[in-house]
Amino acid sequence: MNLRLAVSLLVGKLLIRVLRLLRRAGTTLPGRVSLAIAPYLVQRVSASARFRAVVTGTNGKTTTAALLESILRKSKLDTVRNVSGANMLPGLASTLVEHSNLRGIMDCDVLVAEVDEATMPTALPQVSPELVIVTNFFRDQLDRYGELDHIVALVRDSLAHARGVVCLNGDDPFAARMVDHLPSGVQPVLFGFDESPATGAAVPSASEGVDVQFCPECGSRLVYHHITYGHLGSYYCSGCAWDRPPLDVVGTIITQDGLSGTRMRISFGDSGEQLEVSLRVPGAYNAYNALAAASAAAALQQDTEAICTGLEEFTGAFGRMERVSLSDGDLLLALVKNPVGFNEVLRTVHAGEGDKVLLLAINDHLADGTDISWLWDVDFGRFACRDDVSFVVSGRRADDMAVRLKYSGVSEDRVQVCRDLEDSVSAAFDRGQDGASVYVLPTYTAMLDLRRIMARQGLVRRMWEG
Amino acid sequence: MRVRMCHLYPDLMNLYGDHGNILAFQWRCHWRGIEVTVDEVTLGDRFSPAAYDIVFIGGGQDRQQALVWRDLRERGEALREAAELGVVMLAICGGYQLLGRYYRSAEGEEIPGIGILDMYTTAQSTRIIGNVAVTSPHLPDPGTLVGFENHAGRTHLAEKAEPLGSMLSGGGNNGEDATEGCVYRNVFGTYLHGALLPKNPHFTDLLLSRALERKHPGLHLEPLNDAVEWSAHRAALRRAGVRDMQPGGGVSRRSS
Repeated sequence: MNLRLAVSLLVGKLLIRVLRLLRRAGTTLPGRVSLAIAPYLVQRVSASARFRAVVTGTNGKTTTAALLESILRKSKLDTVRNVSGANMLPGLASTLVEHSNLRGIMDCDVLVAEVDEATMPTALPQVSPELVIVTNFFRDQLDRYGELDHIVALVRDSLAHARGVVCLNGDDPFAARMVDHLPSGVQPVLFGFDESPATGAAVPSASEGVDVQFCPECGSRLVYHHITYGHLGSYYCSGCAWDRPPLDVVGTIITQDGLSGTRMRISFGDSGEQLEVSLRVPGAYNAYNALAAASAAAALQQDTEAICTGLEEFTGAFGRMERVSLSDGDLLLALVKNPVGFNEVLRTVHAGEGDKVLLLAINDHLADGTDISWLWDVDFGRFACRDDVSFVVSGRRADDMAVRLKYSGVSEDRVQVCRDLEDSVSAAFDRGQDGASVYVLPTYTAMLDLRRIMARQGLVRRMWEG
Repeated sequence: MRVRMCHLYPDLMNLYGDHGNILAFQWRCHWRGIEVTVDEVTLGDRFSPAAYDIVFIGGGQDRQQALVWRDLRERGEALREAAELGVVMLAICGGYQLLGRYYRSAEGEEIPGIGILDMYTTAQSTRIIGNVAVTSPHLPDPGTLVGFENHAGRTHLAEKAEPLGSMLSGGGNNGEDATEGCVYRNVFGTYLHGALLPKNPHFTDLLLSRALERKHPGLHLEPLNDAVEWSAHRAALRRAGVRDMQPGGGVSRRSS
């Protein structure tokens, strides 16, 4: 038994226990300490799983990883997955510490690790997965990442260490292009959606499509046959022959039932098999997550039964359109982190029936992104004339959010500023007294705070569940 | 009364929510019953800057900016003439750099700019990122500006060039001389995102006044109820580490 590793794991496990007793989230400190003692920890412990899968990209990492886990569990495979927020090296290490014994052995079949895009260069060689999923690329936390091109380059270069299968979102020009940069021997699997009445217009909206406008080959403008959301869709170059590569796994959206979910068909090019799935999580963004997980599962030889059930039984990951029951009623909790994600959540909320109260809790700590300029790329204008929608704004940047709403045409009497998060929850429910649905849309750290508050108010679910 | 605005390269130079500045102009005109039109001009479009009251250009990624520089330089003469005529221009970050004399890349290549603002920018490998508070003599009480900066470029003003303001907190033009932005006639360049104008309603109104005064001399803009904006402004000042505004106006600089 390697003494250094054992000590590192022991110390880490103790820290996890202590932090839990103190009711602190603590997803990265134990890992940080353990890594300081045994820097090769991630490599060693990851290798003990029978199989490793990594999920990266801007939006959908957590949900895609959770969906994949759901499918694998249907096949009776034991999985270990890191919780959202633990997707950088220390957090990943914490998860591995928690689930391994003192010899660094995890008793699991598959390690499903969501990895932050900027961490891919360091994490990928250490985890050494047989499967990688790249969900999409959107501008997010520019204060931390710099520029989107830079992030894309980091992920692309990290894939030089890939082996086995790499699932890429063919509908995202950034991700699709990576198919040309994979080492030989790696099997690419491209997934995407074909056109259906449920897909939208063929022009990226000004605020959403700005990340990808030009052909990476020749620099001419990209044109779309159809767009599902943001810059995702079927594109071709107006100047050269570059276009969306042929898809290995094709999704078709059959119906979108607002908040109740989506019915979709998945066609696997390889086997010719098809299945129809009724997803219980809403929005085009979740349809992509399901498609990604299905593509990965198929590449891992999972049978369609497991894929179908795994997808259909999934009710949502930590904070992603999660329905939470409180003594006062139900609320829907959806994490917001960047313009496209926020827009998709708002679009889904907008489609819901009846009166609504939206609690927008905006923080600007490191994990939320310190530059809140991104709020100006979110389209709140759709609520301008909707008298059935009122707002409570909270968090450290509550005042910025109030200004954002004012300059979207939302009248001030429909907006209540409530800087204290606990009060804001009560305020939202007060406004929701007459049967209005309550939606809570927090940034990351605000979500953690809210869950703590809700746990104190009698909600059973532990906040470190993911 | 009408304000004609031009938004340059909205598809390429909108990386940090700079679109919020257009919204600020639009709503503050709308609330006063002033008609406002916004023309969007991008690569290859015909463009007469002198035909507008306000021209706006935001910031973008390096790749997009290169395309924009090439396009905008072809209109350099027209833009310089418009600046002399007193057309109001607001340029943020990448747009700001473009209005200077040149941009020196990391490889030492000097790319000429439009030359309206007497300054130049050099590329650095580190970025200046964070919440910002500025005090500006161009602005009415309290004379502060709040925003967020995120730039690798370091801008250096010529000796006679006028900055937009001086730093209360943050890096500003180059992190060394405590200046922020640059002003020439009615042309304002700055590194401030946030978006800039919504939390600085006095700045928006200054730009609107300058634009409207050209056709309506002596005009006074009707004041609006800006309680929401000033709440956010004060919160942003605190966030940038600046102690609250004093009752008679003015701010105290953070001691550290």
